[in-house]
Amino acid sequence: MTKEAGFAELYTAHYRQVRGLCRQLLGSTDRAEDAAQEAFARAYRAFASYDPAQPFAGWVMSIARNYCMDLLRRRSKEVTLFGSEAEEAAAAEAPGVDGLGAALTQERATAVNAAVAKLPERYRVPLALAYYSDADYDDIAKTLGITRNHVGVLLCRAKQLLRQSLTETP
Amino acid sequence: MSCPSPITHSMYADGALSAREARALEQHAVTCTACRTRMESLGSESAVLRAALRFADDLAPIPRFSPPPSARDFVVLVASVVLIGAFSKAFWSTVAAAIPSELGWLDPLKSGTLFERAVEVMTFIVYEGTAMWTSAMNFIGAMLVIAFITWLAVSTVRRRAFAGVAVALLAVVVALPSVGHAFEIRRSETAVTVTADETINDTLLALGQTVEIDGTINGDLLAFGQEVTVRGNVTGNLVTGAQKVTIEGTVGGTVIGGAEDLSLANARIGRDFYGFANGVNIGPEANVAGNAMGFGETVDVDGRVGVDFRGFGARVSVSGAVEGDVEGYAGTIAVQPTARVGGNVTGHVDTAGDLSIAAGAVVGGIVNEQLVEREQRRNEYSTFNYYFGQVIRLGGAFVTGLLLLWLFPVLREASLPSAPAVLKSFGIGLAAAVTLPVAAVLFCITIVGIPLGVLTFLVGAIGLYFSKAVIGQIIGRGVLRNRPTPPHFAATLLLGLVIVIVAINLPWIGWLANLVLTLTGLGVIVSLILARVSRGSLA
Repeated sequence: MTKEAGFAELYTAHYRQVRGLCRQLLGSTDRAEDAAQEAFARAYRAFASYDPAQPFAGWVMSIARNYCMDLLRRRSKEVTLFGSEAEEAAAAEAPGVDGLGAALTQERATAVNAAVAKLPERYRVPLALAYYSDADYDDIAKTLGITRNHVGVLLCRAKQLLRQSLTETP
Repeated sequence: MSCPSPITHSMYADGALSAREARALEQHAVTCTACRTRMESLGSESAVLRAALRFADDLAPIPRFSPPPSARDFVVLVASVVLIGAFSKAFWSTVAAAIPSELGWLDPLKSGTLFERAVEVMTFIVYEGTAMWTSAMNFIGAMLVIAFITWLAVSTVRRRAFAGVAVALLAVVVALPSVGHAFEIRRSETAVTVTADETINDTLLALGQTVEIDGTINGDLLAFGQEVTVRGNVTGNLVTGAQKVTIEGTVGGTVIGGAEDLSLANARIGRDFYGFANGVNIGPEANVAGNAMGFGETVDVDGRVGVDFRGFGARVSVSGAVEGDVEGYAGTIAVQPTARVGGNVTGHVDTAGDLSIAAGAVVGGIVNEQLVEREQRRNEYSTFNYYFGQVIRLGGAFVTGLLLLWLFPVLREASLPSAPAVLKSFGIGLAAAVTLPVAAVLFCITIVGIPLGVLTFLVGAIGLYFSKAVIGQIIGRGVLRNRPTPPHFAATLLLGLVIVIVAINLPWIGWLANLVLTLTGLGVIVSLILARVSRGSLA
């Protein structure tokens, strides 16, 4: 099998997953499509360095994640992309809507996605990393360049805001 | 133990607490119903959230993967260029084979006398002509130099894009010859003649060693040969190329002729005359009703010109009657004693005295000798009008740019982050600048396509007009990049436009800056439009 044919197969198998990550990270379907293409283009160029013993998904997802993070950093000129930990923590302590639990059913997936897309970047990005690419807190902290606790605070806030927006618009 | 914070709960649901912390929370939950409920709720929430985030992606369409260009693609590109070249060369040599061998000297790739003459004329114009000619020639020269770079740039664009360019080129190569109308064609290895008692009611293409037209042609005449003589009557236009062209008859329309020796003996020309030759001669009995323009080593006007006469050459001489103005760009310009000029005589010459008006010559207007040398040296940068003009230009560009950025906010975010991006945009811009007019012309040729053709022209013109605003905005943003708060787009636009205006007014390289900036801006606009169109929305 030629390199191209082999890659095309992997592309078809993983495109949606990569595009999904890009969409959650960038908050836009249009930009996600471009970013996914670019991520695969980068993967294609670096394919020689890919170790087939490793899962392809993890490899290409990390390429996509790095690329999206670059995009986000470039787009945002603010130094403190993820806000101050103390302020966020204070906001998180405030009483709010409790866990949605079973109320959050599969049927509401579209609404959840819309709500996620509307989240500010600083909450959306860690949320996507944690719940889409299944990264653990240490990974996220490293990717975003913030502390582990800060990640916990942002995720807590992200879920709070999500609940709020979902209970407001049933 | 008091109830843990929402953050602790959230982290527990994410499995991010340390083993000790998790155990403590679990122990607390044994006795605290509220916390137990909350933990269960958060746990199932996390699971549903994971599933929900992925939900939409299961339905997403998978676009075709286009691998980034590699060295192999470059080879494919070069091969396709060579193929297209070979194809067009084969095509044109088939056409050339249909043309008698006597016309071999017309082949522009063969360095014949006419070709050398043409180069000389061009060089002369570039060297001594007006600014308009200079910039036009510069543009063509730059196009040739840049063509190679473009192909490189285009190769960095997606395959789809350069396939488009290749197809466009192919279309041009194939379409150009088919543009022609139905001709009556007469060709012969020796002589083509239209005898005096003969009438042709059609456009005639005459090819032969000698072409002699004594009859009447109710249409255009295209005559090429070694020697072309028109003694008859052509009601339409005459386009001719030969070593020696003599026109003694009547031509109702315009005459365009290229030859080593081009003379209007006692010709009557209804409209304009354009002669390119070693020697252009409007004979004493000849009458050109419209304008006459001669490019050549020597240009002589002994007959009558109904409107203006312009001569470009080493020696320009007027001894006939010119009803309008005489303007010459030449080594020497002589207005002979027999000459009558209704308007002004203007000579662009190297040194004073090269424009001579003989005693006895009648000039209705004023005689003006302009020294080319001095004209070039005159410093335009020191005139008030120049700066005033630039300020007006800046103001106009700023206002239209503001409007554009206000209407299309997406343009405010356009950026060129790297050198390859600039090169890519430039390549796209150049491709668009080249293909848009061609596409427009092709559309216009098919009657149904005229509105489409006009639209294409308009899009191209608007794009070119706005491209400086777009590029100005990008430059302005680049300069003000490090500001703590992003500046308003009006500020970045103004700053960028000032830089652009200064750049395009630089001496010597201003035109190049203008070209590069305009085409790069056009490229940015075109790629934005393409990106939108490919997503099926222009919102």
